[in-house]
Amino acid sequence: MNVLIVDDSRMSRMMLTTIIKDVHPDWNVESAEDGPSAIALTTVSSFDIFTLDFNMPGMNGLELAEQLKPLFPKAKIALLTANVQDSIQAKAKALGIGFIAKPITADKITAFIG
Amino acid sequence: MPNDKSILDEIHLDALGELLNIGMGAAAAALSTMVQQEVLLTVPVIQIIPSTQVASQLDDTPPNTVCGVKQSFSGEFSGDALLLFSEEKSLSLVRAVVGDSMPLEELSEMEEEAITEIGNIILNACISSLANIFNDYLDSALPEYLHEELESLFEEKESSSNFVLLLKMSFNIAEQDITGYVTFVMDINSIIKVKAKINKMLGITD
Repeated sequence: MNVLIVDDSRMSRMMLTTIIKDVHPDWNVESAEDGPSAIALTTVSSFDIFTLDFNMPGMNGLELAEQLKPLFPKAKIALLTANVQDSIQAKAKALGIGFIAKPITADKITAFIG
Repeated sequence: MPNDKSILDEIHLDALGELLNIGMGAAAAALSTMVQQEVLLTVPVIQIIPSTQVASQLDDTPPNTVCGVKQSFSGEFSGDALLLFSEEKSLSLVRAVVGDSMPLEELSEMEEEAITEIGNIILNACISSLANIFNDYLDSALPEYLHEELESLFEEKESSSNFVLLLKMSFNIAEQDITGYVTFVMDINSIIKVKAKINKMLGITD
């Protein structure tokens, strides 16, 4: 499996990578610090799972998800954010992507990635 | 001259206290998950004060160089949410969240980024909770790392408005003896909008 973590926080990227690698050492886990870098990575690699932060400079996680959905229709995508407002959760649902509330825990991440 | 008695009634102060309680409850739950221990909360303090007094109201442990994160929010009402604690506790907080495995050098190197993300999670829990209660959406700006004197932190505010609503609630992580607080600062226009929202929520006619 190929996973792409998109989060402007290095701490979050590190924690997520550690959790995923602990459960699935053989998976390829890559990360990007914003939407444009993530889009650039998708032009050279294919991904099965995406976790997207919401509040990021330039492009938010929902805008990024809108671009990723048609490119990766079979991929699992989740918004992973501290912004747990009902309206954000509703927009994620409407887009057909998952929603994971920060703080990041191993239980929440493994429940999503399988 | 406006003060907390003339702008907001007892019921509004009570409602604001309860809203902050709920928001901080969500924030404390998030922090508790991060540090894997209980986080204690104090009762909220709510005041409408001249903006020139914000720093002195917050500064109860001189010297007043603070560390923390500021997140501005905007929507029907707007303001700044701040997570603040004394600078010497910054690394302890990062250590409490990241765990003991990371070498000190590496921990120090990522201190600023880690504090910013911790603040992002705590403040967004609070802001989101407020937005959800009001059935509203608040746009939160990117979190901004702070490491400065309280006085200079509020200098900008002082020039832009006369009175501000100050909501303050402290938290304590006993094991590491880390005490900090979350505060919301809003100007008079936002106070009036929040008051109208509380009235609507409680069925009070303006």
